[in-house]
Amino acid sequence: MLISPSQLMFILTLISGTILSISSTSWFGAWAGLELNLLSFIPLIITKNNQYSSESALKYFLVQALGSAIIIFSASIMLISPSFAPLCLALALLLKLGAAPFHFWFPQVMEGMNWIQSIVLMTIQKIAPMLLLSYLTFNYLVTTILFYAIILSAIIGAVGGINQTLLRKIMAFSSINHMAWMLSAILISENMWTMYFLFYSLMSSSVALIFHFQQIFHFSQITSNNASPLPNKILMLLSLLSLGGLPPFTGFFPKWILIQEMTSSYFFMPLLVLLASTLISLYYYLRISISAFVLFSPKLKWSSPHRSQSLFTPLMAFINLFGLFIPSVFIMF
Amino acid sequence: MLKFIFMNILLIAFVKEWWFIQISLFLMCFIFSCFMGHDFSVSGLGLSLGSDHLGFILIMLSMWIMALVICASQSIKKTNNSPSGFLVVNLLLLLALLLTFSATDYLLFYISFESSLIPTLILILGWGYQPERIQAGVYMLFYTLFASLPLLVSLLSFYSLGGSLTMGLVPCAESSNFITFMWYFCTIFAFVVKLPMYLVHLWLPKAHVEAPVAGSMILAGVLLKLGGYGLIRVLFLFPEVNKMFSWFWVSVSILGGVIVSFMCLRQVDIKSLIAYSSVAHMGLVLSGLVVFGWWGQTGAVVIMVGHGLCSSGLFCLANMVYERLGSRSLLVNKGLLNFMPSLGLWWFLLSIGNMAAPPTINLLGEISLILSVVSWSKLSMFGIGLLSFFSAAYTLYMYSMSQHGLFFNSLFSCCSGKVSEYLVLMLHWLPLNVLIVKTAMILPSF
Repeated sequence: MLISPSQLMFILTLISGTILSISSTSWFGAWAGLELNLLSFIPLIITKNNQYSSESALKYFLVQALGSAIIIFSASIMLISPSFAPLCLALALLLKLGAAPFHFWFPQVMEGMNWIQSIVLMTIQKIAPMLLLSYLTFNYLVTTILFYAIILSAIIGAVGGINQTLLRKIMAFSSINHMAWMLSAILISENMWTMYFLFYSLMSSSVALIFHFQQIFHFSQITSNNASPLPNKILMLLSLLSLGGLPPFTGFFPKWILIQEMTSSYFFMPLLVLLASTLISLYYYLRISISAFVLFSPKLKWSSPHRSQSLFTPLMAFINLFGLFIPSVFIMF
Repeated sequence: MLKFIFMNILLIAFVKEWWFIQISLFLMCFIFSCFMGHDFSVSGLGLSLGSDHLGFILIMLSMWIMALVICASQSIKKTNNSPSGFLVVNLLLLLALLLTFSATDYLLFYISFESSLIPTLILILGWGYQPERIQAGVYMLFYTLFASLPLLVSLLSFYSLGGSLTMGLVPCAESSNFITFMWYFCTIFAFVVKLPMYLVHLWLPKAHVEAPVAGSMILAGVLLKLGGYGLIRVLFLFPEVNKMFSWFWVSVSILGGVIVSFMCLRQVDIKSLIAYSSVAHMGLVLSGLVVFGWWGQTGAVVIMVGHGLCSSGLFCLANMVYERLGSRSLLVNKGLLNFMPSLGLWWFLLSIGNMAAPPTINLLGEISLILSVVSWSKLSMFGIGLLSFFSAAYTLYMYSMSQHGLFFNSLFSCCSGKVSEYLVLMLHWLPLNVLIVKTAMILPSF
């Protein structure tokens, strides 16, 4: 995959926007960083050979601009009404994240992207709003709102993905579901969040890379894509199960640690919802992989031959599957 | 323990050679049995692995059943239905089982308990018969996962309570308030589903009917025993609450066993009949475990071993018939005595094993369980009487329907059994009947 010089620049500004916003000491600086991040992601979304990309870029811009506007507004009234401003900030940040009550833009934006852009949307674009949210947890009202967001994200992320046939939408809903876990990790500590976020990025990007290298975007492409050999399909199944958090894989580790912390903090009600929603989301992961496994369709002449994968995908998949065997690496959290 | 786990992992490298794996599994079983001189204390400790007498017996059982599974699935090699993939999946399953039974840490136990699900799922999806296998696999996965996620929460609560999850160091939940009650149910439920108890058994017949013979054998032989093993490991953590609720488990499992026996009496599918009969047997195991008696626990362990060998052998027989007739229906598989007279003997021997007839260890186990449950409550005599009567009745029904009567007319020739098949059946039957001569191998005798 070749990167043009302008794209490289935008990637750098995207990352520096994130860094600026998470390391600034004032809400104004955070806002500036978020804007920089947004404005450098828009050109990255737009690609010539995808007609939906401009639509999703526009939607993304509108939603994020609204969120940024609310952030700069509430940052400026912070001095006037210190109780209302954090509330407003939290809601705006939830909007920017795409967490549950404000999730509607997220699957639609993701639909118009390719897998690499989706990875950026699912991982890097989450860092700044989430860390900014973690500054607000001192406020009781914000914590209550976060609890509602957790429960809603868990349920919507799980239920919304069931009936989907577009894989990017499914991954978007899975991202919403994982966001519920990440938000509850924020309520416990930033270390927990860092740990969960790193693992989530690893798992989701490994799954997305598997889809990317086979150029699968739709449910039916999995079944018709019988050019891909069986080991690839097994790799896909196991990576998806890891994303679902099934025990022997790496995906279990962040869930384990988070459940442990949540039980010791007595967050049993959100935990109940989170676990139930994990089961439902596991169902649609399984649905993807079962159709790849069991259904064989006649091979079409024009089906693209299997693409050679980079070394990166097997490496990611390996860490994704066998991370639990080297737990001492993660003990540092 | 690590030596056996490494042996298991290294065997994965040799999956191209079917015979090598088959022989090595028997060899592994033999080497493991040489460590029998443990005198019922914990042996092979190290790296949070180790086995006490219970773990030892069940590890032995899983190695033995796995070796027999490879023997019984020769048709996968013959039809070249990706045999090396099959062996990899089976070896990974055995690895998960070894880790489960030898874990001295509740969390490691949980992780490996759960990870045994994935090879089973792949076994059912990959080598099963009908398109319904997808439904069966998903059913199995979600039934057990739904029950076992609360278990994880409850184990981690134990960790935050006592600071350790090493078996024996975890503090008991002595109180009997509502929280402890919820905690108890969260902990028990995973194993009760895995066992399975009546009311949550629905995944089992489905999974058995759709699984290949290997899946059925390993499911009936070892995976159900994971439930019993887990119960033995966690029940003593809730001494008070369990005393309050043992009536519930005993009545559901005994009455459920009677109902399931009725259901067995009207099955036409051999495999689902055997699967339902496992539910009835496991109900007895559950009631023996929850009454908290020494007799009950030892009887449950003996039944677990006996039932593992016996029902695995019956599934093996059902598959032999299926390979010849292409059907598992009792309406097609009738009068088999005309075709396979010598196999009829094995049908008889394993059927009476399922009825708990004298020389088998099932008898020993049932006697201890009946003693324990009846001494807990005289009322349970009625249920147990009905249960053991009807379990004899449906086994007799299965034997007589499949062996006696006029054979199915469209069948004109079939092989009456190969030496390898007789060998597999004999290896099921022999430990089932010989172990009673030296019960000290499975019964702790203090």
